[in-house]
Amino acid sequence: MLHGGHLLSVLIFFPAVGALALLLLRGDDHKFIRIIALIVSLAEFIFSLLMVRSVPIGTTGYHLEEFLKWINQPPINYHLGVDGISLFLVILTTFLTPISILASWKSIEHRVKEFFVMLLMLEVGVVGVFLSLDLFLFFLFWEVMLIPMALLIGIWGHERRVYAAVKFILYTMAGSIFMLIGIIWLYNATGVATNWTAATFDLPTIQLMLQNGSIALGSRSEMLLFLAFFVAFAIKVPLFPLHTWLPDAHVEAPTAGSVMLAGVLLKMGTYGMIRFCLPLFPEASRRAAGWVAVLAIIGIIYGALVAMVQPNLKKLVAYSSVSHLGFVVLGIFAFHNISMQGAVYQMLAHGISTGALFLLVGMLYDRRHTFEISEFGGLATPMPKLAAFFLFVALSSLGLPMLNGFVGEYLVLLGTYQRHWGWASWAALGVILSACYLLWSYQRVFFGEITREKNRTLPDASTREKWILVTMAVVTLWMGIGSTFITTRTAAASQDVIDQVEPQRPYEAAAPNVITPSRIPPQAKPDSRNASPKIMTTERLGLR
Amino acid sequence: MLAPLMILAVLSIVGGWLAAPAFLPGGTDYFVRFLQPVFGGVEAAGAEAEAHSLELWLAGVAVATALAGALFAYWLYLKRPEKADGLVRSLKPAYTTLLNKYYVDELYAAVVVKPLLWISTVVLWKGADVAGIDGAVNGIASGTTSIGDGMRHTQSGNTRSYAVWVVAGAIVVIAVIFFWPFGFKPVIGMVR
Repeated sequence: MLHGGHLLSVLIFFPAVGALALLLLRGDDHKFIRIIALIVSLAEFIFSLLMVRSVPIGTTGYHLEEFLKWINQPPINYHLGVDGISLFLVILTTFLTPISILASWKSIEHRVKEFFVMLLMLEVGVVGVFLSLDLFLFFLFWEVMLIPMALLIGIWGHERRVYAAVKFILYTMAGSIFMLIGIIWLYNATGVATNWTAATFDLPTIQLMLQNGSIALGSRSEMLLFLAFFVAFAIKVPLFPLHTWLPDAHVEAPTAGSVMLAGVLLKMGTYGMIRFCLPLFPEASRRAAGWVAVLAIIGIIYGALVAMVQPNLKKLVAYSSVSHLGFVVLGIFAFHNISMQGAVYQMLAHGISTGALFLLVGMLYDRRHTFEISEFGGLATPMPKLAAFFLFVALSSLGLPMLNGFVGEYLVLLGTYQRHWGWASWAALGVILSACYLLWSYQRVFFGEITREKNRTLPDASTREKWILVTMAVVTLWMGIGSTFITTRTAAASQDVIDQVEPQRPYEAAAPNVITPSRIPPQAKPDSRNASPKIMTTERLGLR
Repeated sequence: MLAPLMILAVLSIVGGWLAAPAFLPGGTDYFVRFLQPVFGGVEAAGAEAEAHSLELWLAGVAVATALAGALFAYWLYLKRPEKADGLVRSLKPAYTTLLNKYYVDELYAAVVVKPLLWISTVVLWKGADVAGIDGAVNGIASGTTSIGDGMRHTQSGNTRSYAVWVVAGAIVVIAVIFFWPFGFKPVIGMVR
């Protein structure tokens, strides 16, 4: 089991070591602190790339597993593993952390040491969430991540930072309480099932016990458990109508905080849905899918419409996240391999392009100390380079082909259409509306006459900013063209999740008294028809 | 902007000869030949003559229309500019309609854009999002605060008021133990 060495442990705790080292430094040498933080996060990024080798294309299950007994009673284990889905989410995290550090180079002037310590601790929590395979360990990292994020918002944020930080932490905690209850319930169920000889928090074990029937959940308790996990994740995503913490938190957070929040923290919610809700509670997931899809579609359209009328540029980007994450949730709950891969891809693409949008909005803020769109206008004249990058990123966010946003949205819509064409049709409205709000805001900020004298002399992108933006733009373009590098690695893992929600012959499993082929109910037929194109497209898209 | 325009002008002159009509000397349709592997379709030999006359006819009509338009524009705007102003005055409604592109943009603005912006601002953002959902969230928070604030007054530190609470609590407990009217028993050791 332990052939992979300790790469995953290194990935989780290396930033913590870096943070500890920072703590030992003198607080007034800001430049040295920044450089150390940058080196630590860059090294972490390179380490995370090593994982790619260890996750062979077309394999399911976890790789680089680490298993250590941690607490004897209750039996909590230190169990880590990575698969095709978590692989890229970890890389996204380790990629955005150095970017965030670079973005805070000039704009964070007080409590510099503490700021970078918090950013690195945040990375510890997020990477831990993506790699944990023990429910308790997962919950631990889930909560650990909250504290640095809340402090980042509450200490280095803008005017209403304390309000936003408290709201963020209470909202998320309210959800995680339900998840904690769900985790304890599952643990208890494993105890009862094994007569308390092998009670466990271990995710793969619990999954196995649920599948082979050692733990038999009634359909009502399964639904309650599903909801307990789902609510925690839905708040994090955020799914309409649990999203109101997001505009406050995003707007009040410092640029680096917004980038990490939008870039990776939201994905923890959708990752949780893929990793926990679907495989552990397949029956409940199927029953809830319609409702979840409705909420996701409302979120897509509602988020886009509300984003469109925001007078505050940062709030606009924040609401656009509600819309984009709606696509991810829709893709997950369409239970189709293509849409599932699209959902994973959209998570990554949104992390890059919305992260870049927040970076650009932060750069505008550094110059003008405002987010109000009415304060801008005609900015393309004083800063053509920044304007060009903004357009590039906006186009990627609205899903221009060849850029990253297109791949995710297209795959989600394609896969969803094959299962529920109605869902896909409604969701497609979001694509149109995203063009509306992004292009309209771009026009108001960068085109037209300069209406404020102050804007006439704003400096264009500095060398540091250009490096950040070029990096983001290159990744955006690469993800738009070289998407197969990612989809080949996510294909098998997402098919595995789908298989657990909808086993090969779901109707026999669900209704044991109708096993004879002649008596398969008619609703089984569309499914068996779907089966062959699904495999074919998987091969075409994924495994080549 | 001049350089791209020059390139495009040159290409538009050269480009036509790639698919020159067959009635011209040396008129080989390179474009059709280029597409042949995809579409196939070598036309039958008998139809060739008919195709030629059709080609000639179409080309003639197109060129004639373009020339007529150019001549008319030359006459109207360069030879007799006062005529154009007269036309504008005599066909005022038609002129303004055309000038405003049949008011299609205005129609969209009135029917789609403005209502959508209004709904998004007033109903969705300020109504549903800020007042509705966030109002409920903040309402829970302020409700919790005010409950706590109310409960705070029971912890006054005043010994005599504590004594009153003890007596009141004792009376409630005794009343529950002796006079509980319902079937189930909330306290262990109840009399009835």
